[in-house]
Amino acid sequence: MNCEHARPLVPLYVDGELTSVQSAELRPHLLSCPACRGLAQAEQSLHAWFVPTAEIPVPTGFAAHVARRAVAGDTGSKRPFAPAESSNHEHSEPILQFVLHALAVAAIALVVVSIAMRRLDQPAAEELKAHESQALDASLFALDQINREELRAVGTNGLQGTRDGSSGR
Amino acid sequence: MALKLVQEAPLQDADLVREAIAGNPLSFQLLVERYQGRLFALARHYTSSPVEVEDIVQDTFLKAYSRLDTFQHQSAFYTWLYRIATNTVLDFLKRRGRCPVQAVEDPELVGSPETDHRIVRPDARLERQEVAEITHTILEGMPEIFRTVLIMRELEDMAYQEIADVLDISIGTVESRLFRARARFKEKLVTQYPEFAQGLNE
Repeated sequence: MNCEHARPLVPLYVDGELTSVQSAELRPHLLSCPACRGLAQAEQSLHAWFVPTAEIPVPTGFAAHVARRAVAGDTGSKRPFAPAESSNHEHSEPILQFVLHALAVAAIALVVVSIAMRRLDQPAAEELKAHESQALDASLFALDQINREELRAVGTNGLQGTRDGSSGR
Repeated sequence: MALKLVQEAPLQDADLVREAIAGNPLSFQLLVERYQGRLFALARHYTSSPVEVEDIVQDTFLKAYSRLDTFQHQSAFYTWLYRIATNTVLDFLKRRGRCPVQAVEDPELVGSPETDHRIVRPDARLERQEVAEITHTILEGMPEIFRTVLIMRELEDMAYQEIADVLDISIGTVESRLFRARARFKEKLVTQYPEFAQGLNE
């Protein structure tokens, strides 16, 4: 066997894909030809790079979950395949919707409660009238008191006292 | 005792497939449990994201279930499942758009690369996981047509015939793809990590 014939067989030899007859024919050539032997060693050297990466564990309950979806008619292919970023988005969307809904409900509840509280705080029409009339009565009563005191003062101190009382107001 | 042994004998894939088609969801769940680990490992070769791995494997099983009736029992169930998984992964890579564009350079049209005698061994000081990460990085930058055969051969330890069956190509095509894929892998390795190239053109 010469190099021209041997070279294409070297990768197959390294991969164990040659028949025993082919291997038996190639081996003596590799032993006697440094170039082809070097090629075989170079091919072989690549294997060392292919080591398994760190495992990603299968989540608990994965099989049951998948089987449930499959039986429910989910064919997988119809669902747009989501890369990690979109997948996160896909996962976050229901959460976002839930938060928005919750906020909307909370806002409505807040409005309702504030209206109810305002109504509670506001006196009824009769109460309001009573409060207003009481306040009015009180202020009128105070004015009346002041007027009386002024008249009393006029009676005792004359015009000067009245002017002082007016300027003092 | 004999009955007990029969009862404890694990059900064959073909039986589980038949029962699943007949409407027994537990049978399909058993099939998922049987192969989920291997498919997680397979998907892991293409992406390091646990979310993406889970999506790929889940999609694979969902597709498989929806097509269970097309399983002809001519090949092993896992071979059939593996083919779906590979297609799902390739579909995933296309959608991700992370794979180098093939149209620009069709690897099948590229002539045979020069025989490369360079020996590129990982440095003994490198941890096993570091080697794996370097390889993963290089594979990620390769056209899927090369990456797929390299992963199948080197990481999945598949024979040429199995690769040909899964990818629906001839053994000759597997050979030529692997040859070019290795040359490309080595080229990238030497370019990106020249410290690992020993015996240049030895």
